[in-house]
Amino acid sequence: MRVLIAEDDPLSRRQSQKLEAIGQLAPGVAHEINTPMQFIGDNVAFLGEVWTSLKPAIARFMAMPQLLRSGAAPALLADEIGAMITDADLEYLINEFPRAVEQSLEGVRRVSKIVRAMKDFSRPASDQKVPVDINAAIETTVTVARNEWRYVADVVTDFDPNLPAVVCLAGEFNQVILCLLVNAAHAIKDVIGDGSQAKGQITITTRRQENMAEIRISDTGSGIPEAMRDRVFDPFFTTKEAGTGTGQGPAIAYSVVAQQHNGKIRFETELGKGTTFIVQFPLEETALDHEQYEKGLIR
Amino acid sequence: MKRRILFVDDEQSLLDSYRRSLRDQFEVDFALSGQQGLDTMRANGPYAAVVSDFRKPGMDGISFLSRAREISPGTLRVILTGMSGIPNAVQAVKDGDVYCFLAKPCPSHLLSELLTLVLCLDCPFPVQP
Repeated sequence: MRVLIAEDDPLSRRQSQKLEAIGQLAPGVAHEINTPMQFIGDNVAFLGEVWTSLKPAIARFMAMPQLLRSGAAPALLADEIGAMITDADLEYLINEFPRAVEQSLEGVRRVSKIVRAMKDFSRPASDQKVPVDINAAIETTVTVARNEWRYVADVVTDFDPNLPAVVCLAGEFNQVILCLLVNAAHAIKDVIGDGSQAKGQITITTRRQENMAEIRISDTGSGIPEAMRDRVFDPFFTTKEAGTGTGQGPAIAYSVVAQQHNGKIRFETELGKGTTFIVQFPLEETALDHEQYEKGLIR
Repeated sequence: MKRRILFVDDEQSLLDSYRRSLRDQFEVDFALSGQQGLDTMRANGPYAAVVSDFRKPGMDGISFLSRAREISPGTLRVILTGMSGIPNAVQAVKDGDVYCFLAKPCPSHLLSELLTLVLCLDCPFPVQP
């Protein structure tokens, strides 16, 4: 028997963390795909039935010129046309047919979007920091995690379209957004509880703040109690009951932002109002400056 | 005389597809949330069956179905969901007393056959008055 002993390789550790995140998202993603697949399938079956019911009407329609030429009475023709309309249920089909097509196409777009997002989200871990369009990356993460927030909140995004690319570890960046997004959804879930109709709101904004790219993720949860505020970024600190989530989101985000990217992370919170996590990543110029500084090229 | 079914799901497109597929066999009503579903049952009931997704905004499928049972004990309860883990199914049968548990995607002809079958078995509200 061979025993493999894995070295504590940071890259493979990061890869396995990401696989874990994907594993946790998978049931939700399956749900997000299965629902449109169900109605697309039903709609296509419906369109098939429509064709079956239209075929006799079309045959009768094609026979009309012959009837006209042979001198059929107008009243007879009117009856024939009336019967065609009723038999094929055209009044109903005239509205339902295009709606079935439109909703099916919308379903196909939804499935494509989530599959593409899943693919973007799960790119292999890399040691290399690369320029990332963080607005697009956030959009991807919001899509992949839709099933985690859609029952408790609406997500509103307000992106700075002129934000430069952020040089970062792409997978880790996604993980930060995922952690804080899921954390926000859980905070709201605790407030609205079961049986309530009200949904909360998660707002994600991106802005340039001097030489930093700033991401704010706000929830309309209950806010963080004063006694817990010092411990939010502590690993192993959690307010969650076993089985309801790890509560490790902020700690993971802290380690990625502050330790791996020389960025900043903090939060603002108000009891009864909600919490905003504010994440700042250095923009390319400063990241390059930092590299050059390290190499002794600038002082 | 068609049997009356209530569907509860937060996807309008899905509800519309059921409406198209089942209109020949059943009289179908819809609700977009658990609360709306309970209101509809009180106002327009009784239904022969109620078909609900597992998770919905506000109220999950199981609390919805257990409250539906209080309103109308004779209405058959069916779960139709994309979240079809075994623990979910067990909980649904235990707490929601559901009659059957279906996984999405479930083609409409299967759904229709199944509803016809379970409704033949035992239902105090077989047809609309």
